[in-house]
Amino acid sequence: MRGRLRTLAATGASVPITLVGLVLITFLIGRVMPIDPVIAIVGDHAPPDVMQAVRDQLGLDKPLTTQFWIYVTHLAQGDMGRSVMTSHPVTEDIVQYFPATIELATVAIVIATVIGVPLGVLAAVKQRTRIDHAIRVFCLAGHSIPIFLLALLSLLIFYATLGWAPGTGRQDVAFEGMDPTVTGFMLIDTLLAGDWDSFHDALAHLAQPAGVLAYFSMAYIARMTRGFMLDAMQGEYVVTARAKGLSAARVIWRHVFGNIAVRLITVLALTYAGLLEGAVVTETVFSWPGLGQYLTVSLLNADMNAVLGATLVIGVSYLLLNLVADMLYRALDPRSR
Amino acid sequence: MSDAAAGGPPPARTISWRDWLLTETPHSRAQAAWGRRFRLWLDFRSNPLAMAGLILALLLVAATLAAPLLTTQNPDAQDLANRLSPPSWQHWFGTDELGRDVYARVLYGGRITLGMVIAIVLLVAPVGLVIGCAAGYLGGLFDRVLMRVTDIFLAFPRLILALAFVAAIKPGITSAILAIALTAWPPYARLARAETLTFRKADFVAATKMTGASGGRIVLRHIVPLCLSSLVVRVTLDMSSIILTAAALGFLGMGAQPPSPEWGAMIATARRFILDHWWVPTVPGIAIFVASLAFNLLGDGLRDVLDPKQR
Amino acid sequence: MLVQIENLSISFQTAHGLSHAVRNVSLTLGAEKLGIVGESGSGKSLTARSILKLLPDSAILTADTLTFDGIDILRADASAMRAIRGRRAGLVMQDPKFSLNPVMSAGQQIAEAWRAHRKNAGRREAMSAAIDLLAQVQIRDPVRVAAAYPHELSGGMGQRVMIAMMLAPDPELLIADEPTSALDATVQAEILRLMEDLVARRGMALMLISHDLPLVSHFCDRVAVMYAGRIVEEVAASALRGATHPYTRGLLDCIPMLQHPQPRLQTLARDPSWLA
Repeated sequence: MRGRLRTLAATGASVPITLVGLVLITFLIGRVMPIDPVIAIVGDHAPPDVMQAVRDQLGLDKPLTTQFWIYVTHLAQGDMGRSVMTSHPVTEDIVQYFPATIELATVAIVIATVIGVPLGVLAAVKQRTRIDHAIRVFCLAGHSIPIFLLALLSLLIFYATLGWAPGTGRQDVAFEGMDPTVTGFMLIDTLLAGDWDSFHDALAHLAQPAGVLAYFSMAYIARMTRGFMLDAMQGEYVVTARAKGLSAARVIWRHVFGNIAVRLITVLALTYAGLLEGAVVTETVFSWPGLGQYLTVSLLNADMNAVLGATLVIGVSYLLLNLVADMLYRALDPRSR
Repeated sequence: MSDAAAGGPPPARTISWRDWLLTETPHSRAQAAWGRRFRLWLDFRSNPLAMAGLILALLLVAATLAAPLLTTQNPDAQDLANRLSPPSWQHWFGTDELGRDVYARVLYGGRITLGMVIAIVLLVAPVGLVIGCAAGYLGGLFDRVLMRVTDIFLAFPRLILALAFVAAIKPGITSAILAIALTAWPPYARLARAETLTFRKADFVAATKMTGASGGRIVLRHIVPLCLSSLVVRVTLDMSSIILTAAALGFLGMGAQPPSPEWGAMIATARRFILDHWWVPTVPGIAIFVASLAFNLLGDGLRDVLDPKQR
Repeated sequence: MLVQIENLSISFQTAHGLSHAVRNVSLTLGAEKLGIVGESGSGKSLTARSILKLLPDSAILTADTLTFDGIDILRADASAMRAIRGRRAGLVMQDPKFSLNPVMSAGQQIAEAWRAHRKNAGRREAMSAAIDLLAQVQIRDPVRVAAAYPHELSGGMGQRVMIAMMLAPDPELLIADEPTSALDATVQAEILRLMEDLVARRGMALMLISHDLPLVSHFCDRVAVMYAGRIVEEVAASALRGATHPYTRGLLDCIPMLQHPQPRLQTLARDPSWLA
């Protein structure tokens, strides 16, 4: 038990270093790379006294290490500066917009796993048959298609042509603001308020962006599952299982799949992290009020504080997800005990 | 064989180049090397998907290079009277919101995309390779620091980091290239490092060291060539991802700027016409898809041929 | 007659044409211990596994007769094979490091084998049966081993687990495919004696495959020697000294013996006519 805690601790120990590195990179991007960091933050048209105030605040006349220290201490207090665009503190903005992205990503990964994993197993079991080829083509397409095209086509087909799904946005204008924001997750908040109509509306609006993201990650998950399964099927223990007279289904699921399940969890965690990236583009197309859209809008507005704040938060989430994946792997795989 | 058993030189007859390449007994190192390459090519050729990828990629490159030959239209020529017209004999893919010929724009836009990808790869692969090999070979503090740095870069999703970089410098093609390059090099360094670590302990390295070769020479002349095949596979597979990232940057307005016919930027400006004039944003999107697909197939095929156990 | 094989041939489609791994092999097995000896690539494993139809998917299997207790293996469908595998014939493989499922405990794997052919068997019943079987294969602390994972077990213990697993459904035939080749020399004899004991007590037949001629001749009633996919000699174990085929003679002569030291060890000179 102690040994296990120690390895978990060792894994966790590398996190702070990487975290510092993340912060350093955002600092470099924000303060060192731009020609004039102040303009990057407040824009070209800010009055000179605002510019001077910002300059003092950032400590731009001080040496670089002091600037970094100022930056870090501000971050530690949760101060990521103020967004020019929304004129709110960036931290507040992120707290407001992040849950929408998390909701989107979570629903997407659930769909992707439920469909992708069995597809991958099927492709492996039926290797070299037409089903396998079809699934491989499906995965290849998902890997090669740009998400924004898929999002646009989805709007075209499912919204405009077939009328199956509502348009962009998280809710219909009619339902906006009807239920109090408790968690920031629309599905949960509407349920908590007992508002079935809002819930249905939220679900309907979630369907397309989550579907697009789901297809994207489902392709990857299916491909990884197939690869893992094909690998594991070569094992001698598969012959043993068959020699015991077990049914094909039991051999495939209990023995082969059981062996790759842990690796698959790592893949899922990493895919979830990748969804944060995909969300940036998807949210833009569907006008989904999440962190991704916040990032792209602040990019267009050259709002440096917001850009860096969002980047840092996404980077940290990515890091934490990787950590969770690693820890889960060590905890679940009997061989690493 | 009875000829050899009879003694004396084999009868002088011309052998086909194919036999020369596939002979079991090569007479020179060059012949053996070419023979090996030819066998790899035969393996590759027997894979229909890989061949499809290769042909597609070649067609793409050819089409973009030969753009002036394949269309007489000027990609920048506006024809506002004719805007958003559907595909016709005059405009094979219709016209966009400013009346420009979509087909011509896609062709010329291909130059931008492929140019970006090649620039990025040329920047990233050699740098990543050398850094990774050096880290793997030298070990110690240099290695640890380097691994930390790659960890940090890998801690960001590629697109996000690229966006942040571009935000700091002015948006544009050069910024996009630099930004993507900065985010793309870590995996190559890691790959090269991993390969170097396996080779470093090999006997032939020790032997070369004993003949007095310097570390640099060992790394450059002996280890780097061995890493090349997995690097090539990785680069080809990565190309599709780079194409998608570059397009995403363009779509978000952070890469090539309008009126440049870069595919992502084309989709961005035409986005609002998806419902009524779907071909305007869709055609460049399909172009991106085809390009990405081609390199995916090619990369998969190369991997099957060069590194079969990784299938 | 438990197993009857007549003119069994197994081939594989390779990039360079058809590869004949097993060529016109015929043998029978009754209530006895048969040893099949041969070098790597002689086709002995494939021959044995064909009884349970556990060949790779790419294998092409043909035979005039291939029956187990009268059941036609060639034409048997999946459920018929499932009734034979485990229940009537078990297979012990070479290296427990690979042949045991790494993510299931030893006890779980044995219990699974025990329950597979006993309808309505409970989990707890199966686990206690598993612990009992572990005791039968002479494992000193069966409860601890039952909870252990394969990577925590030594080679000898792993092989005992394997044997326990295959004996759980009470089969009539045990096929042991190089069961001791991955074990230390000291453990090898123990494992074989264990198998011999269990097989005798349960009245089972044994098919022992090995590349080790003296080992096989010691533990088996009859020995079949395979070379390049064919059976070149079949003798009673006691009559092995008097074997006639030059390959067998060559193998026998190559064995270094302390009692008869030689200044130069013999080597085996292969005659291409053996391939015919």
